[in-house]
Amino acid sequence: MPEIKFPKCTLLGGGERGRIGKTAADDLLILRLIRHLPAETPALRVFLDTVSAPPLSPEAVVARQETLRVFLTHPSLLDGLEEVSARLAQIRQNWDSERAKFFTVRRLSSGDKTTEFYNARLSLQLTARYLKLTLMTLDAVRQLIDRYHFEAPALSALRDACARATTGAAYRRVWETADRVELGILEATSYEVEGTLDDEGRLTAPILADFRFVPASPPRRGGEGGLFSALFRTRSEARADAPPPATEAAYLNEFPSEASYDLLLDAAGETERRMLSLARALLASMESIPRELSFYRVAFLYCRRMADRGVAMVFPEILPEAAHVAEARALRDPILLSEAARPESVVASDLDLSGGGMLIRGPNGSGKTVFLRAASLGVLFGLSGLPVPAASARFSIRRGIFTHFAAAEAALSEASAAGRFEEEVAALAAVLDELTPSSLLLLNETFQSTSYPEGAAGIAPVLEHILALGGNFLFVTHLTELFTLYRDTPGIILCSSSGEAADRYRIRPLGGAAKNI
Amino acid sequence: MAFPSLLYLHSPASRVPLAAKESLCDLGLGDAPGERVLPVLAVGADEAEIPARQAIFSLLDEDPAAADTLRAAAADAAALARLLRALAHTESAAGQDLLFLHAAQTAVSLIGRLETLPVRGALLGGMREALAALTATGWYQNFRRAAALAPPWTGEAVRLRLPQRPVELRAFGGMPTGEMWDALAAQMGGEIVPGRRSASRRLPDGFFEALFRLDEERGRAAHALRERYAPFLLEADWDLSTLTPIADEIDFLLVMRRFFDELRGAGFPLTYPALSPARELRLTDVYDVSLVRRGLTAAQIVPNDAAFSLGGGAHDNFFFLTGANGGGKTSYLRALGAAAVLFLNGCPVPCRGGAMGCFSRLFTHFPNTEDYHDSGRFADELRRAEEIRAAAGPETLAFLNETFSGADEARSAEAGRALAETLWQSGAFGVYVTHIHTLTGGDVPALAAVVDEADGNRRTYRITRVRRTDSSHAADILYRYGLTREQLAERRRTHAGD
Repeated sequence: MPEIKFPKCTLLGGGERGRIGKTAADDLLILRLIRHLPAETPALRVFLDTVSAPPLSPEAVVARQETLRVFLTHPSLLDGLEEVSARLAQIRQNWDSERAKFFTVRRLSSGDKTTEFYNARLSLQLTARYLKLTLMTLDAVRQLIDRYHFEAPALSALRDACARATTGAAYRRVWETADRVELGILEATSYEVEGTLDDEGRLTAPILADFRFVPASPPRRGGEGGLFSALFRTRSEARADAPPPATEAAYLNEFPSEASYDLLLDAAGETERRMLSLARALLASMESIPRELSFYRVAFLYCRRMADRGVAMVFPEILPEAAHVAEARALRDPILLSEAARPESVVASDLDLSGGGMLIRGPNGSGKTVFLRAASLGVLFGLSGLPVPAASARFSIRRGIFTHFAAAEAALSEASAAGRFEEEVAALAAVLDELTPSSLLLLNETFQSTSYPEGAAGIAPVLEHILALGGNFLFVTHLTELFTLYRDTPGIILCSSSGEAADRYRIRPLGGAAKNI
Repeated sequence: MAFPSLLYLHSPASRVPLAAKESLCDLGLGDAPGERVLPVLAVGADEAEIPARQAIFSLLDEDPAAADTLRAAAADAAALARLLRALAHTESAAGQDLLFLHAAQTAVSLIGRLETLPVRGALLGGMREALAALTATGWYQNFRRAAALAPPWTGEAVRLRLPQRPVELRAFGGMPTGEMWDALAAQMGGEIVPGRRSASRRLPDGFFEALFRLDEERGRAAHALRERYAPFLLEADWDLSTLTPIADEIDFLLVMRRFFDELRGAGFPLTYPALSPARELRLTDVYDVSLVRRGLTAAQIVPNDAAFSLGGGAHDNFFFLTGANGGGKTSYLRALGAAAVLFLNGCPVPCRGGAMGCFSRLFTHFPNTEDYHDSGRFADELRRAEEIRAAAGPETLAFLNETFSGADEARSAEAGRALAETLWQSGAFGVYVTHIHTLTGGDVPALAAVVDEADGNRRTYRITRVRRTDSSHAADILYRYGLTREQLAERRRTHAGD
């Protein structure tokens, strides 16, 4: 039997996705940022998974931005879609459970062929109801979206897909057939089974072509058409039609009852499979919607929380991969903004990775790691379709966003120090295995578990490798040799955080003599 | 009279097979060209069949239309086999008439296709000769005409009204209901992807009689055809059932051809080494096809030569092979073994050229990952080695990989030396991959995988003849993690190549 596939509806956009490194979500404390939002844990997990695989096309990111804007403007649309999509999941669940009950009864019933065929018809009736419910729910999605006026291509595409499936002559015919089966299959007494002969003279894919209740009467002659067509003619159509052409028939007196019922069981089964595959294909086209709505729900709550705290957010401009841009003006750390008693006190800094890389040094506790996190979350969230806490931002598409945080917080004994360096090397090598052009690599105090000159000599080829591949890095480090090495290297911006009270927590580019350590 | 084979000039039934299926899998042939062809590869070809099969493979290389013809012929032969089986199990006279008609039309189509194949080599020549003898007969020409005139029932739609008796049967000319479901789904925005062939049901014998009553003239024509020609085609002169094994034979040829096309398409050389009367195995630039399967390109795979010979003063028939981990030892072993299997089946060989004698048996001995029951791994290895030792001789090929690694080094060295010396002395051809360097330096000659010590022990994947070896060249930590400046540069070059 052919398989039916409907295009997958998506509110997040299809296509290729980028990825973030295995440790990035933990290193960047994403869960800490969202865990206080009033959302269910599965929804938070979906959000985490979604930002871990940002789209690779600017159009897809912009489409997400537009969808989120619509939900922020019309929260009731998000509520309504969540309700209908829950209904879709419920239909499948109910059907599965009814079928399970039905099969138990069927197994227990002692089966002669007529009982078996009765059960097959019951099963067919159940499936017809399932198909109808599926169609009704898709129609509800269409009607819901039609109530709002907006410009968001993903939502429009969802509405159009539902409209294609629930309007038009084909939809009516399927609906009426399912309706007829649900209402009439148990009462029917005569069935037309249709099939195609194969080269061995066997009947291939026998299927129900028609059925009716026939009081004891001679067999009807003639009648052409497919899929219960005679049943759906209105009276006026029936009158307008010429009588069906008479076809010569042959009669089989020697047709064992068991063979009849075997054929009817095949035909009922094939008809059920047809209905089932249609219903399942329609549901499958919607299967990612509930999960995607979870992402938008968490994104909605995140935006609301920031707005409630008076934080200005901006949707970044998204550029193609080839642009190699990552710039943000007055970028702030969303975690501090979300948690600080006075969000307005959170210091903003500028990010500029467009040239290639940023090296950041500075005293302990002067905001280097916070800036690294702000920049990382800004790029990651921005490329996932979310607004970022900045005055303006421009990001190009990234195939991968990786972190290598040297677990500076972990207390390591001296005895383990030698092994620690090897662990770092292994972890960084694993990251490099995944690295692709246009990746962004965020390094925090990497290779400080060995002597600093050796660490610098070891990391330098890696940084140059990232740039040679067309990627970018942001490296917070105490390996001051690097600042001398790259003092005059175009594309690498040397920055410092300040421990001075007047300028505390702000990251600024180094200039002149300050570049030379 | 039986139709001839496309793979064998003499019946393979009484032959000792060339290799066990497990050995073919050890050599990577189970992954590509795949399990499907292993039963044929395991049998091998004799000295006359090797050039005859080479002729067929070269024809397929040069003439894509011949491959298309063979593909269609294989489908016909498979259908014919099925129809003949159904015919033998049908009691209804009308059913027999219908099946005979369809079988007859399929056989005519199959014979017609085979007749158009160019004659190249002894196997195709034998087939053409047999077909010419058949098609020249007057009765066959009349039969072909009669079969062409009778319309088949295949693909016709019918409807049955059930379950009341008498069951009514009608021909149906409208859009089949199944197709109508597909059409409706398509109109609703769905894409219809063809699936597996739907199940079919055999109906009571009376169905065929009723079908014939729907069109009596057609039924009479089918009946007349069977009455007249069944004695010729089913019982006496030309037994159609002997034509059906050709389906599997063609399948072998086409699967192998697809495999060779993939290799050629990826830029790998293939050639037909000469069949040599001498005891030798000489190949130039032979490579391991399982590396291709793993995605390596022609630029990434390092080919090697093989120069194995016995007689005329040479005793270079069997070698130890040692060297660095990851240096290409097993790949070389696989390359040689697979090349030998392919050559001994009349196939093109993954190399640039060479010559090979005809070997009758091929053995492998790879580490076994299965349970050893109660015997232990070393005992299992000894048992398998004993089978090879017992069959060893100048017509034997043996490819041993880390054999006896299930024991401590001293026992492993002792057993390994004894086995290798026996094989070498018996005149068997092959290699024995080992990490035990003390095995080298004796009578059995040695090969080694070369590393470039001046370049951080870089693996060159070159195999060269050596007197003895003494190091496995453990890599340092930086080399292992690939983070040196040079390695990163190499990584970028590879990336750019991808």
